[in-house]
Amino acid sequence: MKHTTDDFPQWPRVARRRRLILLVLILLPTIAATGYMAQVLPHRGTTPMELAVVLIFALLYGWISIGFWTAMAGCLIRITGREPYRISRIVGPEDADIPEDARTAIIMPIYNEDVQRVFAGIASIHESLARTGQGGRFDFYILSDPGDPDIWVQEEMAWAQIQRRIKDSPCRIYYRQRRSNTKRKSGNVADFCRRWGRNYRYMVVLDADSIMTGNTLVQMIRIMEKRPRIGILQTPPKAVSRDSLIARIQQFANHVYGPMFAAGLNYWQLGDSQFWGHNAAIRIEPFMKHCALPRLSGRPPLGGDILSHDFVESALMRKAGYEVWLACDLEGSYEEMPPTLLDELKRDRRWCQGNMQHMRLLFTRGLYGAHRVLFLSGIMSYVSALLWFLFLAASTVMAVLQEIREPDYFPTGHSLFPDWPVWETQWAFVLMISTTIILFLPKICSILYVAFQQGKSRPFGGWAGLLFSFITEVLVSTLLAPTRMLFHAKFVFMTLLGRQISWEAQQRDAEGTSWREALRFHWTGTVFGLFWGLVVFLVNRSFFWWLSPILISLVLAIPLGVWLGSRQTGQWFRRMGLFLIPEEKSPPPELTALAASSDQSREPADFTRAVVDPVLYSLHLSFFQKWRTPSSAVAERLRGICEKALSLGPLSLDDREKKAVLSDPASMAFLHEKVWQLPDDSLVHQWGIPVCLPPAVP
Amino acid sequence: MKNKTEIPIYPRFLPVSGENAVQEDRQWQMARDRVLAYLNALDFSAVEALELCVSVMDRARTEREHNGKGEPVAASMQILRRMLQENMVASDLGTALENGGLPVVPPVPELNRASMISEHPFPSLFSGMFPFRKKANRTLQGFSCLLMMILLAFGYFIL
Repeated sequence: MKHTTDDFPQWPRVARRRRLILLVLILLPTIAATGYMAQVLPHRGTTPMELAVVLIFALLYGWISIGFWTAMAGCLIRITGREPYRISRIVGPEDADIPEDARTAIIMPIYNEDVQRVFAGIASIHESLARTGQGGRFDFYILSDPGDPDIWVQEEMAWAQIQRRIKDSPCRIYYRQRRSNTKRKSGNVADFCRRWGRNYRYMVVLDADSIMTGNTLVQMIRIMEKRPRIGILQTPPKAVSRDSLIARIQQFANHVYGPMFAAGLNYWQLGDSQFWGHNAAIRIEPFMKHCALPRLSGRPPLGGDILSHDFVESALMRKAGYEVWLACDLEGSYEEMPPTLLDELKRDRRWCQGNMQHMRLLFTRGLYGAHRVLFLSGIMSYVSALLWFLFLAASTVMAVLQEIREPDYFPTGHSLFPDWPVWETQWAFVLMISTTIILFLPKICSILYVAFQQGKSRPFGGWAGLLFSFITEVLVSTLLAPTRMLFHAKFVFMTLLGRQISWEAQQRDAEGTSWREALRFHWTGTVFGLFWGLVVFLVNRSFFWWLSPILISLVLAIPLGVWLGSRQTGQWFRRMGLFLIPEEKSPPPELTALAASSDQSREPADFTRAVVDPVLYSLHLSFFQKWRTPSSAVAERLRGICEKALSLGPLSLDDREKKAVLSDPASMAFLHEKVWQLPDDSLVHQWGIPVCLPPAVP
Repeated sequence: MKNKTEIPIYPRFLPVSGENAVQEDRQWQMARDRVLAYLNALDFSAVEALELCVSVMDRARTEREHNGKGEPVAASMQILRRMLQENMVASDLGTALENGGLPVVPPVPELNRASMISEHPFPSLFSGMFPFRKKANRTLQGFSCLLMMILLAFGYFIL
C-alpha cells in the first residue's frame, strides 16, 4: 500500500509509544543486571567503592542495551517486513519527475583531500545522474577550503579537465576556493548558502569519499518534494572500496549488521532522526533560516567552532518544526572507511571533541527531547570508554586490595553476624553471559537473516564465507575493543581537562601502518597492559584470568595495528573469499567508474607550475571574478614575497606565502612575467622552466 | 699553382668569433629557447611558434640596437608577451585556455547573496535561574574539576 502524505502526521504519537517501550526494555534488564552485579561483589555493593562499581556498571549496561534493543527492533522489522513508517514509501511511480523549479545543488566541502579521488567521485556521480535523465535539475559545487597551495592548483586543473568531459551537460560542476576556513566545514557550507543558496531548493551534502547513485539522488528529491515538512533526509551510507584488512572487516560489518541497525534507529527515531553530515538532502531555505551555527564561547576543545555540527543542525531543524528522517531502506549511498586503525582513531579524536561539545547544548531551550537524547548518546559513545576503563580499574583495585588487606567482616559496624567478603562467581558468570548476549546476539541475528534469505549469502562468499567472516569479525572487534577503549578514554579525559590532544602528521606509507608508527602510538598501551597484567598476576591470579582478554588485546596492539592496516592482508582475505560485500561481486556502475577514474594518472601540478606554465597561470587567473586592489601594507608584503621568490627560488616560500601569492592575481601576474625573464642559472631550474615545455594538458 | 675557388659565404652564417660575440650569441640562444618554450607551453604549432619566434627575435634585436641595453632573454620575453597581447592571444584568457585544451566556463555562477545569521549562543533552559551557571556553562572547566574530585574520592576510598 502506498502511503499518502496524510498518513504521517501520526508519527509523533507512534514515536512516543515506541520510545516508551524502548525505555522500559532498557531499564528493566539494567535494574536486574545491576542487582546481580551487586550480588557478585564481596560486600554486595554496600561499600563506597563497590557502590561506584555498581553505578558505573549500570550506566554501561544501560548503554549497551540501547544498541541491543535498537538492533532487535530492526531485526524484527526486517524479518516481518512491516514498518509503515518508512519514509521512502511516500513516493510512487506518479512522482517520477522532479519539477523544473526544484533545483538541487550537490555540494562537496573539501579540505586538503586527495584531488584525484574527489574529482573521480564527482565525475562518477555526474555520469550516473545523466543516466537518470534528470541531470538538468542538479548542479555540483566543489567547495574547497584553503589548505595546501599545491592541492589548490591541482584542484583547479582537475576542475578544468572535468569540464571537457561534461561540455554539453545541463548539469554544471562548479568549483569555489574559500579565502579562509572560518568555522571549518559548517562555515564552508554556510558560505555556499549565502552565495548561491537562493538558487536552489535543496542541497545534497557529500563528503570527499562519498558516492551516491543518480537514482538515489533523484529518489531523495522526490521524497522531499512529496513531503514539504522534511527538512533533512539522511541515507545510510554503505562502506565500500577499501583494501586494508580493518577497512574490509568494517565494510563487511556495515553491510551485514548496518541495515538492521538503520531499521532499528528509524523505528524509534522516525521524524526525529539525525543528520550524519553527509549523504543527506537538506531543504535550503529553513536550513539557512534556522541552522546557522554560532561559535561557542570559550576556548577549544569545549568552546570555539562546533565540530560535530551535523547533530546540532538536525536538532535546530527539528526545533524549527521540520522533520528529519532516516531513509533506512534507500540503497545507492556509499562512503569509505578509514584505511588503518590509527586513521580511525584520528577521526574519533575529532568526533570525540565535537560530541563532548554537545554537553553544552544539552539544555538548550526549545530542543526536542529526542534530540537531547541523541546528544547524550553521542557523548556516551565516547564517555562509555572512560566509564569502562574506570570500571576495570576499580574492579582491579578491589581485587588487589582483597588480597593485600585484612578482610573486613563487619563493614557496616557492629553486627551479630559477620559479613563474609566472598566474590559470587556464579553470578558473575550469569552477568557475563547476559552481557555477551547483548553484545553478540544482534550480530548473530543479522548473520542468520542474511544466511536464510534466498540468494543473499552468495555475494558475501556463500554460507562458509559468511560464517568465517563473521567469526573473524567478532574476534577482531573483540581484540580491538580494549585498544579503542584506552584511546577513547584518553580523548575524553583530555577534552574534559580542556586540553587538545596533539597528533602530528602521520607517516603512513602506501601499504598501511608502519611498525615505527604503530610503536609510536601503541607502546604506552602495551606497556600499561603488561604492567597491569603483571601486578594482577602476582597479586590475584583468579582475577587475572578474568582480565586476560583485555590484557592480551593491549599487549598485542602494535602487531595488530600493523596487520589490520595492511593492504596485502586485506587482499589475501579477499582472495580467500572472506569479508566480501555485494558491491565487490557485482559492482554498480558508479563504483566501477570511480575505480577506473582513480586509476588514471594525472599530470602533476603545483604552485611552481601555476606560476610558470602559461596555461595553468591563465586558468588560475580565470578563477578571479575581479581583481581587488590590496591595501598598501598587504601589497608591500606581497611584493616582498615575490622578490624573495625571484631571488631565492620557489623553494624559499612556505605554504602561507605561496597561498598569499595564489590569492592575489596581480602578484601572480608579476611573478609569471618575471620568472620567464630570469637569466639562465640554477633559479631557472628551480622554477622548472625547461628548454621546451611540454603542453600543459595532453 | 692550384687555382683555389673561393666559396662565397653569406656573412650572416659566418661562425661567431671573439669572446664577447660568443657570449652575446649564447644569450640570444637562451632567449630563443625561452620564447619557444613559452609558445610550446601554449601549444602553438611548430611552424607558428617558429614564425612568431623569428618576429620576436627580430624586434628584440632591433630594439636593442636602438636602445643599446637590456638582456636578450628579458627583452625577448617582454616583446613576446606584448605581441601575444597585441594579437589577443595571451591577454584573452579563453584563447590561452583553449590553446591548452581547457574549456572556458565560469568556475562559479553569478552571486545571489542572502544572509544566514546564527542565533546568539544557544539559550539555556536554566538561563536566568542561576546566575552562577553562566560561568560554568561557558568554560565547562567545572566538569574537569568534578572529574578530578571523583578521582580523588576514588583514591580516598582506596586508601
